[in-house]
Amino acid sequence: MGKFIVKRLLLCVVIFFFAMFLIYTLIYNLPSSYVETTARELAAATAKQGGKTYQEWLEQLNEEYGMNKGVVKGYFTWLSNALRGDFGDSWKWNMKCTDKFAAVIWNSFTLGLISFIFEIIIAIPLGVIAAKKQYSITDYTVTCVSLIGISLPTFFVATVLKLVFSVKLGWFDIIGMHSRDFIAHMATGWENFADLAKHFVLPAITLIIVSIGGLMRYTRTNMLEVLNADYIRTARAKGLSEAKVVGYHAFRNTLIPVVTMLGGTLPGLFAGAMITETLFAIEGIGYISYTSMVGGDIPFTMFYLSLMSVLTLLGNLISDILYAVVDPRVRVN
Amino acid sequence: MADEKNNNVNLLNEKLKQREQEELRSKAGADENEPMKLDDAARVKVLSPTRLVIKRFLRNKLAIVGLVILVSLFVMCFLGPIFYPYGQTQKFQTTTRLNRDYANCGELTQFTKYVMDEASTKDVNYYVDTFVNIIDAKGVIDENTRKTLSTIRDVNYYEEGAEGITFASGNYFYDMKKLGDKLYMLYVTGGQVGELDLMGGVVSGDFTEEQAKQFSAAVRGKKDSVVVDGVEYRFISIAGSKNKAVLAQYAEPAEGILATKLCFDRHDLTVPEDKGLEEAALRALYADKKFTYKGENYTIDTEGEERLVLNSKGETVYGISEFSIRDYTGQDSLSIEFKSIMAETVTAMMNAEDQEARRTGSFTFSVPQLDPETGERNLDENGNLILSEETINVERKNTGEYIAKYDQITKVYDIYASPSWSHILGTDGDGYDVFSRIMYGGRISLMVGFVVVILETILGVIMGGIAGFFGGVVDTIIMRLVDIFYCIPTMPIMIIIASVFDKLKVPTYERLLWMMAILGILGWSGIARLVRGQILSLREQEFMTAAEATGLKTSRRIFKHLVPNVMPQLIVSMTMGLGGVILLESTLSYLGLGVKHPMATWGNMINSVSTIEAMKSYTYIWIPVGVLICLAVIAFNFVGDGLRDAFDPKMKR
Repeated sequence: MGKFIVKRLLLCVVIFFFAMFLIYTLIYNLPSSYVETTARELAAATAKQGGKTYQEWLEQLNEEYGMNKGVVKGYFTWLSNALRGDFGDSWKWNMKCTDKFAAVIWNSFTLGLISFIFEIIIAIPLGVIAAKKQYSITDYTVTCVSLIGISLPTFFVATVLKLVFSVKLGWFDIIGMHSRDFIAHMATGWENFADLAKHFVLPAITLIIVSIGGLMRYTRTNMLEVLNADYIRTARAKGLSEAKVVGYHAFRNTLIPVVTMLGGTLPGLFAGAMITETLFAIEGIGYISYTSMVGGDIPFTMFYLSLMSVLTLLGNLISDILYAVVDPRVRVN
Repeated sequence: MADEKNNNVNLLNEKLKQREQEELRSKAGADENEPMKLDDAARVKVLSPTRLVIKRFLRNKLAIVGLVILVSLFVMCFLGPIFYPYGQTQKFQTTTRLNRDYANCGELTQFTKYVMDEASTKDVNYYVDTFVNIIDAKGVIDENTRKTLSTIRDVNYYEEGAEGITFASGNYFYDMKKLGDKLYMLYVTGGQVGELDLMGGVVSGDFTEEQAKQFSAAVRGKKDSVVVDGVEYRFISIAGSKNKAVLAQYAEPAEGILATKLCFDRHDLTVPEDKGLEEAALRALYADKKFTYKGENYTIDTEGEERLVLNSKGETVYGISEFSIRDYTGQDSLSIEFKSIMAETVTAMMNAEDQEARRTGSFTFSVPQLDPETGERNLDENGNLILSEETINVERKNTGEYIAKYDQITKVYDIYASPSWSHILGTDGDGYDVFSRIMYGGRISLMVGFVVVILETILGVIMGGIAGFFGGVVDTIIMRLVDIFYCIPTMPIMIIIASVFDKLKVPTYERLLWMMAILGILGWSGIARLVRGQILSLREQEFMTAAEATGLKTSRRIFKHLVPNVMPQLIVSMTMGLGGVILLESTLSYLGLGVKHPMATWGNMINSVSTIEAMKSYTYIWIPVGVLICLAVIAFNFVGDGLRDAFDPKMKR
């Protein structure tokens, strides 16, 4: 087992190395006029507050990214800095990329975790029920709903929710993390929490709607597979109650692939939900990265892309390991 | 030879058919007598694999629903525009009543100048306003003005008085007189005859010794002027020179520039302006009020509110007004009746006591009637304008201008029109027809989906096929490449590239092509994995050994024997992938990073009403579009699902 994990980890490192090399090459090969335009715009924007000049921006870029050294050498410069945790200063936020990340990640994580929990609570039971009553109306409804959920564009769901709950009913604010006349440092902790929670409702619902379908389908498919297995027939033949057959024998076996998949999505909680956060202006890692990328903030973009790669690799790794942990048969092989 | 062979085959076929039919007939005959046996082969209807798949597919209700949706979407998007009368970037106009500027009125701020002696006045032409200011200040000139005049404008200022001033500039003397209200005349009173140095010597000029002596005496005596032989001479210092002066002879005043802030209103707008007539009229205005111009006698009538220039027949030719009244474009196209009533109203407003009355006023006037449909002027059968009475409101601007407005029928872009028979889903913020844009947008969205998926599949099949078939090192390398591409996040990369496109201002169409190419390159890894997995298991089967034994080329073995066997899975994953790509494209376009306006796609149509106001008020634009995106993606998923079940019933769980 240990050997397997070590082997997988090493493989991840190699993949990360090459993936980041590809991304670095892409950023490196951005038309130079783009980099220069960005630097010039940055210089112009901060000139009044005594910010860096155009030359200084360019120099900073060259120094941190080895842009003047050639791709390979430059990549190693960046990589050696990045491995030491130094991703440079963000151009847009005027602080270290890692500091900005630390400041906003918990918003993303909270939002992600809330919807993750609700997703599990809603999707798994529905998936199990649908499989239990295959070809019934319940089954068709669940299948349809999950397919619709997969097909809905996030921005459309968000806009409809905003129209209904913010504009027509007036229950929530349309965007933002605080009410308009809410002053955070004057409120008590509880009021603060309540205000924040209120602004997380619509984004969380959006996330749940668009992501619930996949899990529901997955659960249903796997449950069906298990229910058709011989040992379930055996269990029924033994005369076990249907509740016991489904709830104990079948469900536990269904959990194997489901847990594996869910484990794989865990690192994704740190990746943020870019579109949803942007649409609701929730200051999480997704929204911050989106504004950085649109604004041409190269240091933060590189940071975010490396983060995403690491999280994807980590997700794969976790689901591989979990598969082995949850299912003893795999370990034997 | 070949024909003979064909004939043989045909004969054989005929015979076989006959035999088959005979068999069937004998069976049918048997049927009547005894029931068919349970294991009779005729009970089992054998279908070809393709027909089997189609039959299974058609049995799936959801898949049929999806297929119907897809077909209707395609018909709508690709055939609809052919029959729909509007294009995707056709702007529509409508007419509406708008309280719009009709005329503006104000006192002239600039002088109208009638130049009679251009040569001697060209140096002072532009400073007329300054001299008028000095005259209006009763000849009092402050030090600053004097300084500016002498140093910058090279003007020596001599005499001042309420009725006129005298000054010199360059080589000339000028008198400027006020002839009357808002009318000034600049006279030239002398020109250069020579040059002196300030020690008394004549530098140039044709003078006798006696005259020269008298000049020197006057200069040494610090005098400005001297009378020699009954002629007055003056000395004008030359700017920038300390010891030289111009010697100028004083002459009878000659008219140089006539400057006025009065405004002429032509009575008959078809007659062109006549500057000469205007000049003559101005000269006579504050004198005897009679003048002759081009052989005709004119009189000026100052009895009424407005001063009128009458010709010998007593017809009004010009009105002389203190206001300049022009239409909203600044052209002099308004009738004299309008001008006089407007001038009256403005005068009344100026003299009003009440604050409100000073700011706004109104009068009624007959203005050309506008057609409510087209916004054009209505004509009667003789081609004359039809007039209609309108209340015209005059309001004062902070600039001191007076604007006349009334509700006019105006042509405007028909933006955010509600759904109606002419526009089924209304129009958007640019005056485009929404339904037409939905159809064209659908074309782009569906096309992007297809192109990207086909690109992905081609790349994926090649890479996956090679990896699966060869195995070993090639497999390892390609699969690591797949891992690497799998690990690169698509959305952020697209956003970065799109923002680069934004900065470089890449044209819309080029952008679209790039977008499809990049999405294809980033998305092939999933398909490659699938193909490789399938091929790994397929290549061990007997038919591959047989293919190898027959000595087929490798490429033929891969693409003719292995890949077709992967086809079912490939088709399913392509169908499902289509929905995903449409979703991705619409999200990008919604964020303003995909296909750009004015090219329509479903995503950027929703983006165009993304403000809260628009979202609230124009649901008939974005809801249909959003529903269409959902429908398209759902339909692809339904069909994909149905296909999967149909291809492999064992997979149906």
